[in-house]
Amino acid sequence: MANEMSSEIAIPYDSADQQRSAATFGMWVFLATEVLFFGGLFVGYVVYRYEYPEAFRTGSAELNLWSGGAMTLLLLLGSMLVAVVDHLIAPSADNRSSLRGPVVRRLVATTVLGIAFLALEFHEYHQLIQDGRFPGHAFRLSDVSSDPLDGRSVEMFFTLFFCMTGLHAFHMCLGILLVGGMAVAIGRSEQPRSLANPMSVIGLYWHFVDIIWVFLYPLFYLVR
Amino acid sequence: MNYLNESTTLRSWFLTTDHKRIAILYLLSLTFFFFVGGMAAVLFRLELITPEGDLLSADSYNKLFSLHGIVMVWFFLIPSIPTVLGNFLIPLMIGARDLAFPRLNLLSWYIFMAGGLFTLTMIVAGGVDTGWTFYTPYSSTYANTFVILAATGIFISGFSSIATGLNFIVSIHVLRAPGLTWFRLPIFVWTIYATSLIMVLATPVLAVTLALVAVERILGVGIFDPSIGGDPLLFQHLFWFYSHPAVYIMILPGMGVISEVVPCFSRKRLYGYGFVAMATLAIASLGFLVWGHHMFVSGQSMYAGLLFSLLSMLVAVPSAVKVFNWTATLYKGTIFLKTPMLYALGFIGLFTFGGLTGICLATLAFDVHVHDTYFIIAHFHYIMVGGMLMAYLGGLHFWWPKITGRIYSEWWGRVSALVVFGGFNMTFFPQFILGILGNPRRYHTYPDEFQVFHVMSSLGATILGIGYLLPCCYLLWSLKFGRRASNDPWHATGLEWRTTSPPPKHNFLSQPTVSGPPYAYESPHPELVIGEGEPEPH
Ligand SMILES: [Cu+2]
Repeated sequence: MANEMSSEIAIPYDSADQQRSAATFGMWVFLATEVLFFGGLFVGYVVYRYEYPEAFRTGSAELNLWSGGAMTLLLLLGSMLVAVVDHLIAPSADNRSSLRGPVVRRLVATTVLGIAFLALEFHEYHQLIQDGRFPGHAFRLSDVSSDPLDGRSVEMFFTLFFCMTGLHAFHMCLGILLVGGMAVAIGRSEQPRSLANPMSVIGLYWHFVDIIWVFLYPLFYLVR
Repeated sequence: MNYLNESTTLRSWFLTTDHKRIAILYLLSLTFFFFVGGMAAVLFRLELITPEGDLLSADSYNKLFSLHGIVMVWFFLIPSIPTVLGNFLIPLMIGARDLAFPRLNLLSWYIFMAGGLFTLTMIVAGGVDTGWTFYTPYSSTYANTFVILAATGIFISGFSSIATGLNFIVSIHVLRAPGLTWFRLPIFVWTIYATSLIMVLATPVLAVTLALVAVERILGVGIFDPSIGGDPLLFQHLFWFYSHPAVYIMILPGMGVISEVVPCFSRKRLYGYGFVAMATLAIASLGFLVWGHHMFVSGQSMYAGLLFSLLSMLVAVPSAVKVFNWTATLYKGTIFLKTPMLYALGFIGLFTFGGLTGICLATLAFDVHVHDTYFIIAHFHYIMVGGMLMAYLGGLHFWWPKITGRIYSEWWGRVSALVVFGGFNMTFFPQFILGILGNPRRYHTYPDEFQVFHVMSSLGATILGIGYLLPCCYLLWSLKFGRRASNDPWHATGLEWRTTSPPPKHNFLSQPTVSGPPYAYESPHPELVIGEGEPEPH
C-alpha cells in the first residue's frame, strides 16, 4: 500500500499515513469553522424564535411539510451511500475484486439525490416567492397579519428561512460538485483505492452538510 | 543556495508555495497597510492639535478614523505576527519542510490581498464612517452602499485568516520533528496554536454577522433594526463574540515572541514553562466568554454585566502569570540589552499597563464613567500598539538575521526601540487623562481646556512615526550592507537556529530531531558576544 502511493506524497510529508491524517484532520478543523459559521445564524434563530413564537408558528405552517420530509429522506439516503462508499474504498477493506463499478454507481446516485433535493428546495422557494413570502419589498405584510409589526415578525421567520436554507443550499451545490467530481475521478482511475483519502475527506463534508439539514428541518418545518 | 536566491523571477515569488517566501509577501503587504492606516492617524492627529475643526470636516474626520481602525485591525494587527513570523517560523520551529497545506497558504495570501485592496478601495472611493465596529444602525439604516462593500472585503479576508489558522493547527499536530513532544515546543508555537484556534472558531461568526448586515441592507428587512422587529443588541453580541477573541489573536502571538526573546537575552531557561503554555490556552478559552464587557451600557441585563465583569477580570490571572514568569526569567540572568530585548522589555511594561487599565474597564461602575472616552482608546492602544506592535518589531529584529541572513545596525536598532517607546507613551498616556476628564472619542472638536493633552499626544505621534520609519531605513540598508549572519547569531536555542541563515528551500538539509526541553540556556562564558555577525567573505 505504502509503496503504491509513495509517488504521491507531497512535500512536507514523510509518509502516506501522515499525509492522510493531515487531510482528515484539516477537514475536521474546517468543519469546526463551518459549525461556528452556521452557529451565528442559529443564535439569530433562537433569539427571534424566543421573541416571536407565534409568528414562527404562522410562518412554519406555510412551508410544505411533505416536500421538506422528502428532502430529508433524500439527504439521509445519500449520506448512507457515501458511508458505504467510504467503507468499500478504504485501504483496509479486503475487497480485491473490481470496486470501481459499485463505488461509481453509489456516488452517481448520491449526486442525483442531491440534485433532487435542490430541485424540491427551489420549487419551494418558487412557491414562496410567488406567494409574496420573500422578505423585503416584495413581502405581502397584509397577507399574514392585519398588524404590520406582527407581519414583520413573520417576515423575520422567512428572512431566517431563506438565509439558513440558502446557505445550506450553497453548501449542497459545492457538495454535489465534489461528489460528482469524485465519481468521475474514480471512474477514470486505474487505482481507485489511491483516491480513498480525498474520498473520505469529501465524505466528511457531505455528512456535515446533511447534519445541518437535520437541524434545519425541525426548526423550520416542524414548529407549526 | 537559499530560499531567497534559488530563483529570482517574479513568477517564482507570486506562485511560490514556500512558507518563507509567503511570509515575505505578507511582510511587504502588511507594511503597506500599516503605513496606509498610519497616514490616516497622522491626518486626524494633525486635526486634533486645535480644539476647532479647521483641517478636516466632521465627515472626513469620521472617515479617517474608520479607515485607520479598519485597516489597522483587519489588515495589519490580526494578520501581523501569525502571517509574517508565524508563517516563516512555525515549520522551522517544529522541524518540518513546510506547512501542512502549502498551496492553501499561498491562496490565503491572495484572498487576503483581494479582501484588503477591495476594502481599501471602497473606503477611499466612497467613505465609510461607521468606525471599525460597523455598529448597526450606522452600518445599516444610515449607511451608504460603500459600507456593505467594505464589509464584503473584510468578509473575504476572513477566509484568509481561517485558512492560515487551519494550516497552523494541522501542521503543529501532524508535522512535529521526531522527539518534539508538545511540552518541548517553544512557547511561540503554543501561542500561534492558541491564536489559530481563535481564528478558526471566531472568524466565521464575524463573517456571518457582516453577511446579515448586508442582507438587512440589500433586502430592507429588519434583522438588527428595532423599528421593524429586529434586535440591535444581537449585532453587538455577535460582533463582540468575534472581536473580543480577536484581541487575543492580536496579543497572544506577541506574548510568544517575548517568551522567545527574554530567555535568549537573559541566558536563562524560561521560568515556569508549563504555566506559560497553559496560560496561553487559558487566555484563548476565557477570551470567548467575556465579550459582554463591551456592552455594559448597551442595556443588557445587570446580571449579564456582573458575570461578564467577573469573567473579564479572570483573564487577568493567566496574563499576570505570564508577566511574572518573564520577570522571573530576568531575575539573576545575564542580560544583554540588544534591540529585540529592548522591544521585549518595552512590551512587558506597556502590556502590563494596558492590562491593568483593562481591569479598570472591566469594573462595571468605572466603565460606565469612561465608556466611549479616550480612556478606552488609550487602553487598547497600550495593548495593541504598546504590546503587539512592539512584539512584532522585536520579533522582526530577533529573526531578521535568520530571515535575510544579514545583521542590521545594532546602534540604530536600539535608537528605534527607545524612540518608539518614548513616542508611544507620549502619544497615549495623555489620552488616559483626557478620558478620565471626560473627552469622548470620535469627535473632531473638543473643549479648549483639553488642548494641552491633545497637543502632547500629537507631538508624541510624530515621534512615534519617526520611530516606525527608522527600522524601514536601517533594515533595508542591512540587506545590502549588513554583516553576514551566522546560523545562530544570538546563540539561541530552537530548531530554526540549527539551519543556515537564510534557510535552504526545504528548511533543513537533514531531518532534525529533538532530545530535550526548549530554552536550554546555561550561564554564559563571561566573554560571550552575541549578534555580531561575520565579515563579508572576499
Ligand atoms: Cu473585549
